[in-house]
Amino acid sequence: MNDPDSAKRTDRELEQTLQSLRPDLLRFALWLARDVATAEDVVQEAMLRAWKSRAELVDAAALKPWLLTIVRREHARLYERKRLELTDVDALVASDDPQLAASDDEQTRELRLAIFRLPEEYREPLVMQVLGGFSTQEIAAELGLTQGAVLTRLFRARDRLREVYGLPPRAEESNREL
Amino acid sequence: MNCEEARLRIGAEPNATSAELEQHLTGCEDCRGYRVETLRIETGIQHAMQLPLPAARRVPASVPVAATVVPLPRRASAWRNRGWALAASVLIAITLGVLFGGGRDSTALASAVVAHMADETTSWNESRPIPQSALDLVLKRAGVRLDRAALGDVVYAHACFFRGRYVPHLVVRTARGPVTVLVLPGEVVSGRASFDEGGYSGVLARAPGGAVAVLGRGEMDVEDPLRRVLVALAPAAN
Repeated sequence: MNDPDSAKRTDRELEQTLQSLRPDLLRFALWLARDVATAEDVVQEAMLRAWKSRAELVDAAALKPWLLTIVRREHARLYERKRLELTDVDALVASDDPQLAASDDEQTRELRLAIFRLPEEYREPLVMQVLGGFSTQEIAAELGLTQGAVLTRLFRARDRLREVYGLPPRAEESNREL
Repeated sequence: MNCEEARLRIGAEPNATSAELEQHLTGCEDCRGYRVETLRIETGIQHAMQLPLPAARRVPASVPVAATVVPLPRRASAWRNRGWALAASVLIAITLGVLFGGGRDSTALASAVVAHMADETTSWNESRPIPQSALDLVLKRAGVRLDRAALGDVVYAHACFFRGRYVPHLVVRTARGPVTVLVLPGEVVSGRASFDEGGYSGVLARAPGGAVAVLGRGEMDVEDPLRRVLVALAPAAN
């Protein structure tokens, strides 16, 4: 039998956890959307969806990946719905969005710019892996790709970022899929 | 494993390894160097991805206006037959009881409001009015319309996730100190209900589209702020 007090407590805990995870979700959405307002919309919608679907969450430890997956799907849904205009990345980073322009040093700023400039097919798995902590297998399942394709995309994403460090790309010598 | 495969593995998952990869690296200085480079870049990527995020939004001061309580719209009864009206009342009461019973009553709502205050402990530290655009964003996110001119000096505004909804969490500066205003769309309260809990005193009241909570520290007089809030939320004011 459901205990109403326990249910209320659980809801309250989930509410607090959602609030505490919001910065991570927003950061994740920001890397996907490359636009603060869009990222905030995506996270808001994702949190509402998560709340409505909270009964589906069985394992509390899986909360964060579950939420990140909802954010990613919400972003994809928004993208499909609106066909968002391509963001002018240079303008974005140099714009009045201090959170994007701010960085600890010049190299970090350049790296952020380079990551923003990555094509979505490379940026998305990279963000999922680095920020979301997803395994390549999970990324493959989520993106509907083979694991080999994900590994190749991740390799190419990082390969393009070598330039920021003055290193030559290695993609020319590694063109095949794992 | 050859060099091409090793580099693909390293570039795709810099922090992962395998016996096969380690065996290759033992005998390949070039790939060892590649891994060192990639791990250095990986540290940079991880750092770069921790984007600083926007702080809470703010709004400018607004002009206080003489406040009058705007009565909530009254629903005209279409029932002429008293028996039917009574039956309908019972049915509605049962329905509301089922939908909003237990945790949705005023006491539970007041407790939730007070508990929520713990999540926003710094909100009362703000003293400067916040920009209009920030308040607009918060209100838009919560789907709330509010006449800021009627409200007073808003020094903090945040769209908070509260009981499954985004709600505007505002702090209004008053002569007696800051008060918190939570506009609660969709919440049902039966009428006005004062509460004194966890070091906060406040009041819950019905408002267009839901309820509103106004609270302050200790024995703060929240009547005047409540009047202003109700004026600000009144449909005619928007």
